[in-house]
Amino acid sequence: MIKHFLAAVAVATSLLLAGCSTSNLEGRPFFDTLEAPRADQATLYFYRVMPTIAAKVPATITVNGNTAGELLGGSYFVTHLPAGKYHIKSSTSPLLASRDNSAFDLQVESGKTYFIADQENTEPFKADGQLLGLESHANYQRSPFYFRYALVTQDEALRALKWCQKSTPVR
Amino acid sequence: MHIRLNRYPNKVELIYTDTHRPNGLDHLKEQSPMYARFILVTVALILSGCTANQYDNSKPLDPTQAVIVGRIAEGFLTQPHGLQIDIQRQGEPATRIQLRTLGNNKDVHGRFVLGEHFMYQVPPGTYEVTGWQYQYYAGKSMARRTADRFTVKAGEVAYIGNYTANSLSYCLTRNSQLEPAVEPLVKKFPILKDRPINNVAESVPFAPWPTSDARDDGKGLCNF
Repeated sequence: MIKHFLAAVAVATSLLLAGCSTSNLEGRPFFDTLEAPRADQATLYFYRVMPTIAAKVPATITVNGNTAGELLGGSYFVTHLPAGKYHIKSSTSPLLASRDNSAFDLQVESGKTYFIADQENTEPFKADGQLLGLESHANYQRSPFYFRYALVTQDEALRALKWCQKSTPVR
Repeated sequence: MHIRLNRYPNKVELIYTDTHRPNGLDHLKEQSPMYARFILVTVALILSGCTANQYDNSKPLDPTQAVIVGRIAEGFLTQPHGLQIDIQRQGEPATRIQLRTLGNNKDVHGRFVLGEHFMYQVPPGTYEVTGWQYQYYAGKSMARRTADRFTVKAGEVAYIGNYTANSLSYCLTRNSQLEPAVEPLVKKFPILKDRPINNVAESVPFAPWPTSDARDDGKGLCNF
């Protein structure tokens, strides 16, 4: 009986905490202005406008296997890299494996700024030439959702970054 | 016992499968009161936030309380989706008001619009519009750089604005024109007749506010 009770407590606790995450954006600053490009490095902005699915579950971005940052829904981070080709990978909770465990290679040049968006849509994305890696899709509550990473223009990024807060740096 | 999360987020199915005991059903009956108590306590804890009820015209106004009034409406093409706006008292997140377009006694209804004029008696203080969503869409309102706050004093009747959204743009907007709202407010809440109404919405700017269902069609979210 005690075992059943403890099991019920454990399930109830996990239900209560289901919406929580180890990190959040409370009090984090909103995007303000773009950083000035660095002559000897490329500047990469990663962002994720508030999605409908799993907004509080972070996507961890690694560059050549090293963690560069985390993207909660409605967040962004900036990283700088020397010119070259990089393998960029996004991973998230195994429960959301269909969402955006995505990987792609990106060639970057010093002095340039790149905007990489973690995007969600309720219909397949248009073939706009922005796709990085593969598009994925999954059904949530019977509704289809599509996910991808995209290399977007500065104009598009600035419109979206307006709604994003700076991610807490990953230690 | 297994607890299975239904596809619908508000439903949790409890399935009892205690097959190891020959008298499993009796055992379950024996334990049910404890489970029932536990579930009741858990639900009570979850719902422990106090949601204010709308003024129902049955009592005189309490002079130690403030009154907030306004209008909420949603535009739709085929059917309403249940616009909900959450307002919390600053520093007391458990004190909250939820404005809704679905339900009884809605005085704003047309072929493509549904909503109501509302009136709440609330403790004096500063309140913030903390979020909004549609009851029948999964999208949640995005974080904003400036909060929508207003302060109300005891005995004051404060107009907090006319909130509207539609399920095409998924953007909440607010206008602060008090004059068109006065007549329908007095009609629904006769106690407001001849009472001064302070337009607090006028002094608080409100930028269109998207949910995660909103899409950028080339001009930015909530820019048309």
